[in-house]
Amino acid sequence: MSDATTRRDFLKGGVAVVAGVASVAAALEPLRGLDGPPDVDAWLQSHYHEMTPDEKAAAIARLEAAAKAEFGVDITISDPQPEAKTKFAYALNLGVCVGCRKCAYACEAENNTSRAPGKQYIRVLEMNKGGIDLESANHHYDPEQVPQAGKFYMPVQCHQCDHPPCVKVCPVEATWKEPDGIVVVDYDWCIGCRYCEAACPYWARRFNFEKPVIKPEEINPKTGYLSNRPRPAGVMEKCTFCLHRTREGRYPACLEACPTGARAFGNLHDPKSEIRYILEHKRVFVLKEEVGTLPNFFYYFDV
Amino acid sequence: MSFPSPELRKGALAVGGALLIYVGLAWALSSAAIAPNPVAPRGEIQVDFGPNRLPGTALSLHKAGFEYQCSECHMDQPRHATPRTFVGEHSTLAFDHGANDRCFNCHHPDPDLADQFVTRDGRPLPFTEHVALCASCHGVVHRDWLRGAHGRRQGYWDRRKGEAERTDCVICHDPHHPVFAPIAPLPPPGVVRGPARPGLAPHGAVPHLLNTPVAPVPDTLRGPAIDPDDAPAYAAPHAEDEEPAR
Ligand code: HEC
Ligand code: HEC
Ligand code: HEC
Ligand code: HEC
Repeated sequence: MSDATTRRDFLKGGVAVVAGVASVAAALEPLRGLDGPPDVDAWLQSHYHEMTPDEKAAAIARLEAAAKAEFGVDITISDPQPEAKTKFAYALNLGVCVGCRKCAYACEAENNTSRAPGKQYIRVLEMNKGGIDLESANHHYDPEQVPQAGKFYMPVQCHQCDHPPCVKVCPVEATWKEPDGIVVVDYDWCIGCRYCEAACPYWARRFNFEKPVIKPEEINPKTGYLSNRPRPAGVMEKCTFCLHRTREGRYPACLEACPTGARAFGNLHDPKSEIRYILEHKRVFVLKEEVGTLPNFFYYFDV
Repeated sequence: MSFPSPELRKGALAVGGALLIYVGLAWALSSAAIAPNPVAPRGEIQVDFGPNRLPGTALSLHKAGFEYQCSECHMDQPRHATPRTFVGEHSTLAFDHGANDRCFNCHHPDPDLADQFVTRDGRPLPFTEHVALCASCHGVVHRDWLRGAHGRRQGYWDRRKGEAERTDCVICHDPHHPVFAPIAPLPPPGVVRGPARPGLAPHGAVPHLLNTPVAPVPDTLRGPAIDPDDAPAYAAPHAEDEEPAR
């Protein structure tokens, strides 16, 4: 019976084939989620810090082309570098904020965050006047008009801490603190483990469970490599004080949108800056001082 | 039967072939297999980033298509020191500036200067100088405003690279009832638009930073009630306490 196949052997072989196909199919299942053949350049791209200028330019060209192919929009990806003697800080006047959430929506429009569901970097907490009690804060308030009597409003976003716990926990160094104080994410290096999200005491990081959903006509085409360029699914993102704007000297989008003027932004190294005036003349405080994160985001009441 | 038998080798070939076919199919089907994401109808949410109110461009009144200067009517009208209720003219003017309750604290009392403001120390001010008018009484706020700690700014924080625009007081405060007018808030975050699903906490109501109330644990999920007599001694000091929050 050397080369005559018995019925038993034939069945055995058949079972092996069926099992093999099924297991391969199961293993390949995630591939069905991909939108096309894998981009070798994207897979081989190195960490932001290790890319040569040429590699960076190539990566930017690739990302711009990908955005054009996907949305039909011509976006530009800039990579502004931190300037010497610049450290950014933010101050927010809680006596003036009325809780209208315009900052959160301006941020969404500026930073190309997902619209379904809205992944806003800024959470506005409503609290009872008399103290800061985060336990009883509500960010789902939705009255006819704000401010409501007896309430005050506290917008919370990334505090760009000097001791950022989110950076410490990242297992792959996909997030780090820039010399001008901004904590950034390399979206092509992030593995999506969400440790940073859990480590942040301010609930400032957002995870893209799926590819950010934005209508092409709502995309902000002026983007930065480390800030608001289109993100893939499965990566972390966060407020970067709009570094593509602020490193060019402009105010962040949330500040310009605020109708009450509660927000102030500037360079801590410049003694004539708005932020220094506030730190010197107002009684500022930071949120959750006791956790030792040393935030660069200050709150104050003066009304 | 020694390995590899020809049947198993055939099987391996078949697996390899199936793999190739499957990969090909996966690419071909991938676009069709993924349901398109619903795009949030963001266009429905109208976000107005404009100013709170528009200031008077001139100290004048518009009636029946004509524009009047204050002086045209006020040349020879008596001026009253104390506030009054108006019957005809200006009766629609809502006035509530707290203790600052005299019209002529701000409008010049001299009929010849009816088109001008007056500062706290009596100097006439042209109507374009409304910031100086507010500043004459609200010195501290005005100083803050000059240094960027009050009022809205737009443009460049880095003045070497560009200009920053400052918003005038009257764009945010109506001089006659200066409390910042309440506005409608934009919708709360993370609300997946669509039919409401009863009994489901809104997306984002994670009791992580914010302790949004969670439904009480039903009794069926709790352990058996503890008989106070059987309870261990260490529980006694807390027996009177309320149940801890967490
Ligand atoms: C069409 C004519 C008319 C014009 C134009 C007009 N006013 Fe008058 N104003 C009146 C009349 C009439 C009264 C008295 C109303 C009353 O007593 O009920 C009055 C009353 C006042 C008073 C209160 C005077 C007092 O003694 O209590 C002030 C202040 C005033 N006007 C300011 C102005 C200013 C500022 C302007 C320009 C922006 C202006 N008015 C334009 C007709 C006018
Ligand atoms: C805090 C200072 C202040 C006081 C007090 C004040 N006004 Fe005025 N008023 C202004 C300013 C500033 C304007 C310019 C309008 C603008 O920029 O919106 C103005 C504009 C006006 C106008 C023309 C525009 C309009 O809104 O119709 C009238 C009329 C007027 N005032 C009447 C009065 C009367 C009457 C009183 C007293 C009841 C009074 N004002 C009290 C500051 C004041
Ligand atoms: C003649 C002095 C005087 C001038 C001029 C003046 N104010 Fe006032 N303002 C006051 C006083 C006094 C109060 C306090 C009212 C109170 O608490 O009863 C006040 C209160 C206010 C408040 C707080 C209102 C509240 O209830 O919270 C605002 C805002 C304000 N003024 C804005 C302005 C603006 C804007 C101008 C310029 C158009 C202006 N004021 C011009 C005297 C003045
Ligand atoms: C961008 C809008 C904006 C501008 C511009 C602005 N304010 Fe205010 N101001 C507010 C808000 C919001 C509050 C807090 C809510 C309230 O009390 O009305 C406030 C509060 C005040 C108060 C009461 C609180 C206090 O500290 O006494 C005064 C007075 C005041 N502003 C005066 C001024 C003056 C004077 C100017 C111009 C030099 C000015 N504001 C410009 C938005 C503005």
